[in-house]
Amino acid sequence: MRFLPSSSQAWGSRVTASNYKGEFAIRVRGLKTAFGPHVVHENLDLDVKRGEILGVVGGSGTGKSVLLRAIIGLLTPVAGEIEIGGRNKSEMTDEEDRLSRRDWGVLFQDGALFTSLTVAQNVQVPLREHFHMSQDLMDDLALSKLTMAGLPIDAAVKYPSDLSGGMRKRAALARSLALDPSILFLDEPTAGLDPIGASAFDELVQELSRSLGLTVFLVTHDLDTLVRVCDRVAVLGDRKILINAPLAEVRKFDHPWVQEYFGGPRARAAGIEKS
Amino acid sequence: MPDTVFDNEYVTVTAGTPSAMVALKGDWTIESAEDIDAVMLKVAKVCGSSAVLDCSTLGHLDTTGAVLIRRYAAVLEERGAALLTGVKADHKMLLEVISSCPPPAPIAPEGVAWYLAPLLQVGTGTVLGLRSSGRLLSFLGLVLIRLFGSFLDPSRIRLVPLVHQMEIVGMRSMGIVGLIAFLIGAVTVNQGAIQLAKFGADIFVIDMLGIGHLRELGILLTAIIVAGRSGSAFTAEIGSMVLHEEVDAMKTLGMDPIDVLVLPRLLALVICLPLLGFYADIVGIAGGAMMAWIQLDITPANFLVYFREVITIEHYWVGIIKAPFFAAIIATAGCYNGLRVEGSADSLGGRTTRAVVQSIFMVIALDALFAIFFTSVGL
Repeated sequence: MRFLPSSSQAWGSRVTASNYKGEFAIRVRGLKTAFGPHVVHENLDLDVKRGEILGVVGGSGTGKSVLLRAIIGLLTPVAGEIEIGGRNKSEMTDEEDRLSRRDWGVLFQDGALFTSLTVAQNVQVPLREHFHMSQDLMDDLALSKLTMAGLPIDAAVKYPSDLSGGMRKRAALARSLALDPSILFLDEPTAGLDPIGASAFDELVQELSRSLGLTVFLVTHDLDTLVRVCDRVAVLGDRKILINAPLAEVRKFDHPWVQEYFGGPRARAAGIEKS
Repeated sequence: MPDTVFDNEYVTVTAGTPSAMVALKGDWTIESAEDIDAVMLKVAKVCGSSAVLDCSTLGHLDTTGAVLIRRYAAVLEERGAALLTGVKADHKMLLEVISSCPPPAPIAPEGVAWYLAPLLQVGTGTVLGLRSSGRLLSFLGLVLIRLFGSFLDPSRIRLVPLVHQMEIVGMRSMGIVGLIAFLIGAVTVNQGAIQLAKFGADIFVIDMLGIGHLRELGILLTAIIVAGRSGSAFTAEIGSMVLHEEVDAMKTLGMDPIDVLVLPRLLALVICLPLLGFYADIVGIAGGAMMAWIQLDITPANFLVYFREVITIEHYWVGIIKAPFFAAIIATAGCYNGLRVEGSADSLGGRTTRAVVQSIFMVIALDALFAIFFTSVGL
C-alpha cells in the first residue's frame, strides 16, 4: 500500500509548479536578510524568467550564497516576499512546501553528498523518498543521470570519499537532476573543475535548460560560464541587485565593481570586449 | 479496423503485421514513471516479435520519461525488433542524450556468497583487530615520546588549549560526576545496611562504603563517566577536523597534530581525572553519610568519628593512584580514534563508539590488574 497520493490531482503544489506558465519562475520582492546586526541584503528585488539561465555574480561577501539559501528556504529572511513557480513561500503550508521542493534541484558548493552512501545510492535518495519505483528502474535512472553529468559508470558503486573533487561535483549534479526538477539552483558549479570538464558542464546545463525548459539559478565566478551559458546576468552589490540584464547591457553598466569585473584581464580572456 | 490489444493512460498497443504499433501518449515524466514501468512487461508480451514505438502522440517528456522509452525499446528488442518513430523535435535531444548513456548494469556493490560471509567476517575482524591493536600501541609510543620531549622543553606545551581542555573535561563534568557519586554512595549505604542489619552488623556499612568507594567505585565511576563524556568528544572533535582536512592543513603549516591536538587533551585529563576522582570520593562519602543519618540514625559527626577510626589513608591512595593511568587510556583511545577517522559520517560515528568502548573496557581491565597487584603487595 502506498501512502502517497498517486494521481496527478493529489500533488497540488507539484502540478501548479511544473504546469506553471507564468513569466517568472522566481520573484523576490523587498528581501532583507541579516545575521544579527550584520545586514546582508536589504530591499532586494530579483526576477528570474521561466526557462532562462540566470547567472548571479558579485564580489566575495556580497551574499550570493546567502541569497540562494534564502530562496531555497534554508535561511529565513528578516523581511520580504519570495515567490517560486507563482506561489508565495510564506503562504504555503509545511506539506506544500515539502512537496514543492521536489520541483527544484540544488547543487551545493562542495557537493554535500551523503558520505555513507555510494554515488548511485546518493542519486536514488530523492527517488526513494518521493516515489516507489522498482530498484531496476532506479538503477537505470541513476546510471543515466550519472552519465549525463559526465561520470564514468564505475563511479556509481564508489563512495564520495573515493572520488576527486570534480567527480563529487558531477555526482552532486546528478543527484540534483534526479527528480527532473523545473528549477535548478547551482552554487558555483564549475569551481574546481578542469576547463574541459567545466565547459562540458556548461553545455550540459544549457542542453538541459533548452530541452526541459529548465530554469537555472546559477551562482558563479566563472566568466566563461557567464558568456557561454547565461541568458541574463544579475550583479549583487551594495546589499541589492545592481542590475539584472543580458551580459551586453551589464558590461556597459556604470558601476566601479562591474567595470572592473568585466574589464579585467580574465574577462578579456573570456572574450568580453570592453565597448 | 486495427485491433487494440492493450490500452491505458500512457500506452496503446495495436496489433498489426509485420509489426505491432505501440503508441506512447500522455505525459512521460517522473510523476508517471511508476505506472509506466509497471506495465512494461505486459506491453512487451502483447507485442510479439516486432514492434514500432510511436512517439508522435507523446505529451510532456523529461529525462526519466526518456529513460523509460529506452527501457521499453530494450525490452521489445530482446523479443525481436523495435523501432522508434515519430519523435518530435523537442524530444529528440533528450532521447539522444539518454541513448548515449550506457545500458543498465547491476550497480549494487559486489558481495560474497552467503556461506562464505561469516568466514570472511571472522577473518577480516581478526586481522583488523590485531592491526588496530598494533596501531594503538605505536600511537601510544609516539605520544609518550612527544610527551617526554615536551617535558624536556616545556615551551612546546600549549598552555591555552591545555587550560581550555581542563575546563571542558574537568570543571564542566563536576556536575554529573558529583551527582552520580553522591547517588552511588547513598545507594551503597542503603542496600548495605539492609543486608548487614540481618547480622546486627549495620555499623559496618561505613567500613564497606569507605573501602568500596575510596578504593574502587569512586575512581572507576569517574573514569567511566569521563570516557563517555570526554573520550567521545575527543574522537568527534578530532574526527571532524580530519574530515575537513584541518589536520592535513596543520601538518602542512608545520604544526604537529600530536603536539597541538593530542597532548593538551592528554595532559588535561591526566591532571583533571585525579582531581575529579578526589571530588567523587568526597561527594560519594557525603552521600553515604546522608543515607546513614536517614536510615541508621548515625549523625554526620558520629559518622566522621567512626570513619576516621576504620578507614586508613592507604585506601584513598590505592584509589587515586589509578586515576592518571585511566586518564591516559581514555585520552589515548579518544584521540587515536579521532585521527583514524576517514571519509564518511559513518566512520566518525563508528570511531566514536569504538573510542568509548575501548576506553571503558581497558579502564576496567586495568582496574582488575591493579586490584590483584595491590592485594598481592598487601595494601
